[in-house]
Amino acid sequence: MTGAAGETRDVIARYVRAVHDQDLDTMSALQHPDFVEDWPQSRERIRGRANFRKIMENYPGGLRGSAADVSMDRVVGGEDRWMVAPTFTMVRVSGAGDVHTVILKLRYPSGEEWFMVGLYELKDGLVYRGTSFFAPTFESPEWRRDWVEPLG
Amino acid sequence: MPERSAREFARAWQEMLAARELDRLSEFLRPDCVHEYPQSGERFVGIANIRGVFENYPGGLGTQLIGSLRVADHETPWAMAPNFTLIRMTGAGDSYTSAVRARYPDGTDWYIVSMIELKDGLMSHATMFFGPVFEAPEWRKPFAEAEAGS
Repeated sequence: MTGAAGETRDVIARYVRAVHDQDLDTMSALQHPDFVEDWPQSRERIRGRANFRKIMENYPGGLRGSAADVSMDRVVGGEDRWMVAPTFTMVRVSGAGDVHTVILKLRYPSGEEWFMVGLYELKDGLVYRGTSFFAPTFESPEWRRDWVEPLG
Repeated sequence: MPERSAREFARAWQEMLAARELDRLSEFLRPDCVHEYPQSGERFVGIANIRGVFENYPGGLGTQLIGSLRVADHETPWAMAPNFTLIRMTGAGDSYTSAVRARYPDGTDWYIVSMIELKDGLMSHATMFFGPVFEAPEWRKPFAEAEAGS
């Protein structure tokens, strides 16, 4: 990977790894001074590195030690679009220019497994805008089993 | 089939779904198109199976106009469709990610986030996620603000 696209992806990869490690210093270092993160499902906007860090630090049950043990093979995609992090499992990255989408599977302290889909924009080589969605795992419904096959 | 940009494709796709014009699926999907729902570990292969799911959704395929919604003052492109509300689109060339807010027949609101790949102007692969709307937790209210514009 060379050039600006590679550098962008590298920033995203380092950022997600920092998220999974709950390496708050690195996360802050990779966030733009005007960083804003939106969580549309709950209509929350987190403005600035300090507020984001406070949420990470105060998450009930703690985020450190969150784990995902599911193989990334569960979701298919071009091999060059995949990256893996040891605790959170980053299953996919795609995008072009300064905008990327990442999918993470994560396990909360409660044991529940959720997917997180993050849309990240970079500016000046730093994470400038994040929009994240959170989606729980669920049982395949009976009504549509005629048309479905299980994912890997 | 004229070559469409990802944005044009996304808009036309949402409009087709909103109008329930499922006879037109072949204008949008490659015959071997794959839809994946990682949350439930499901994969739907081919137009007939994808259509089967769309047509048999309990209560009908949801979605009503909920109005425009802004996520932030992003510089990335936005697009709108009449029934689904497409709130954000990123990507270029032959892939894009869209996030739409939809209302299901039971009245619940969800975000549907789709990572879509195009090939020769048709959808070859979609990975879709479904996230419910929920109340902002009390514990983090000191650090967050309510989003404007929604």
